[in-house]
Amino acid sequence: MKPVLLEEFVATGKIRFVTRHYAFLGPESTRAAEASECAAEQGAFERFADLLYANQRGRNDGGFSDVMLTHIAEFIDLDAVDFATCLASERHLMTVQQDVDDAIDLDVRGTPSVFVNGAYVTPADVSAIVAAIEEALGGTSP
Amino acid sequence: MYAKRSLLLFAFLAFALVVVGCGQGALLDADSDAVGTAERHAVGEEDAAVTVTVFDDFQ
Repeated sequence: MKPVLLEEFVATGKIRFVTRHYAFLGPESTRAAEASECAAEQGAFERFADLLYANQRGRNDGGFSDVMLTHIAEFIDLDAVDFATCLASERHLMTVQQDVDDAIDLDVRGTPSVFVNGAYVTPADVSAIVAAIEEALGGTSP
Repeated sequence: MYAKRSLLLFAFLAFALVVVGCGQGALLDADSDAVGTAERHAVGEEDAAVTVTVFDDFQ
């Protein structure tokens, strides 16, 4: 979904794409979200997020343990000490929780949940999202 | 006696300044968090006509 939207709409200046956390599947969801914020401190949110998606396994089975998250950070050449310090500090926990709280307020019940100009789009597939975007743009094609 | 009262007054004023200062800091943090939450990981033009927001879980 995201690559299509980035290529067809973000690159042409038609949409702004915002990613937020809805870490609801357990402790490793929260740790992965916190870790992505630590990666963002080093300007690597997108690369780190892509690797998290590529390394999805079962729920809370160690795939996103602190050790694994640090390995992923090292794989994309982040400063391992800064990353580990950030992760250990839990300084982004409140930020992640704020996103989750906002999602709950918006009645988000699953992932991914997509909003186009604040309107919930379902199902969250490419064709429905593109249709919602085009409608918001006034019916223009990408 | 006078010196002791002055010292107590000074201590009280210092404590009050610390309390007021902490309160202002908390308010500033709350405001910046509220703004940052929505646009933290945004790509694309700031003035784009449409904003697509995705809530997701990495697991």
